[in-house]
Amino acid sequence: MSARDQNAALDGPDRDDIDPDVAEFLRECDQASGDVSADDLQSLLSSMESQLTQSESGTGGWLKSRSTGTRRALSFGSFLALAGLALLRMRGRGVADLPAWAVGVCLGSLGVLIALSLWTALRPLQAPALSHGKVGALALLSVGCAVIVAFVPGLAQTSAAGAAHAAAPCMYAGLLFGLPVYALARVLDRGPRLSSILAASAAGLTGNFILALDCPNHGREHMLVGHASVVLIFLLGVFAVHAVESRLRRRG
Amino acid sequence: MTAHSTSASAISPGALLASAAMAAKHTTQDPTDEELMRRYVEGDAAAFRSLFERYGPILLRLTRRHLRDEELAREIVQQTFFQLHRARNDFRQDSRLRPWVLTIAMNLVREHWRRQKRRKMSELDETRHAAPEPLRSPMEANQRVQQLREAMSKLPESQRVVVELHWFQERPFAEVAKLVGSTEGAVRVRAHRAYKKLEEWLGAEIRP
Repeated sequence: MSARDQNAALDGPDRDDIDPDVAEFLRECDQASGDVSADDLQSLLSSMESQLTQSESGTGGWLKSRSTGTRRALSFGSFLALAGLALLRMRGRGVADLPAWAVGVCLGSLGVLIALSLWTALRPLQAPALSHGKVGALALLSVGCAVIVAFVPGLAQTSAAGAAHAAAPCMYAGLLFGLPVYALARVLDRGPRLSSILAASAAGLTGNFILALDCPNHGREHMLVGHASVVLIFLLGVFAVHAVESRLRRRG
Repeated sequence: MTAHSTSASAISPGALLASAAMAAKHTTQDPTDEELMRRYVEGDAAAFRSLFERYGPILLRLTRRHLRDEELAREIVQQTFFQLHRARNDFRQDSRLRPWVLTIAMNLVREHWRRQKRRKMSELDETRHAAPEPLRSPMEANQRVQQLREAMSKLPESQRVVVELHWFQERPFAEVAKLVGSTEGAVRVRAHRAYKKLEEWLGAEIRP
């Protein structure tokens, strides 16, 4: 690009600066797209009005139409309710004998990522579209955080061989705790399916958060196989559903 | 929808067309878009119809420009209003409606292109064969429009959106930047590149 072009690019073109022939093309295109008949509008409106009335007849439709602030509060509230319930029942036995700073780092980073995932997933429709890059980065960060927690000195311990044997119950419990958060986030979501990836991240991290609070086994292998895997399973599950949906749509 | 609203069938097609023609330039006596939206949020279904009459034609033209399928263009217009209905509780008194509606519509168009792109990877351009011709203009004008649409579809998505908002919707760069979630400088650069590319690609047709 020449220096002149660079300057023009930085200033941005005025409508008058655009090549007159290209402008003519654009104007023609605009005019050609402008044929909107009254029947077109009427039929669009009629078929839509019944859909609009039906759309809020169920609980799901009603929840989706709440304001974005309310939807975000509800979804984050579901996480807090589950964490509170687990804390009451197990009395935080997973963190009782750990240094406060390690607990803060672990629960703080998981909590921030859960909030960020839910916040981004339940964005308002009039906001610019989510990019694949941002969603992918957040999902990777979620998996990364769950894995790193298993390597924080003071929080995780090197365990003897075979210490991962009790991982399955933790994994199931993590998936079970994550499911309500995922389900509610999907019910509250109005946007494209890309946000289901973020809902899955939040659900997996919720499972992780509760396991970190309640599970007294701090063996590294156990934390990797039993806790961190919850995020990965949720994400892989959502990717699998997306792949099946795409295939079915192509066939349809 | 409230009980006091008039039924859709009570509006004659002629009246609808007249309202549509006035969409972009309603007089000062008409309620503003924001006023209509506020009334709709409060439950006045007739206000929704007025908004539809104003924005329906604008959105249908927008979607027709971006999608070569009339049915799909109509479907996306409906989805836009459906989403607007769902998001109505997010509308704040100090917001402007037009950017809202345009962003929702452009997001839906973008989502369609993403799906289309994925489909094209596995099935070679099936949509081009399936796409019906939506326009009823004379052949030559039609060809030129098709050439522009071809050129527009070759632009990267980020540039295509900027051309739509800057040229066709006549939005200033500052507003386009807000709508696409970028900086004004970046949007200006994208617009410059897009118009340069269009000039280059269409040049052969314009100046043979």
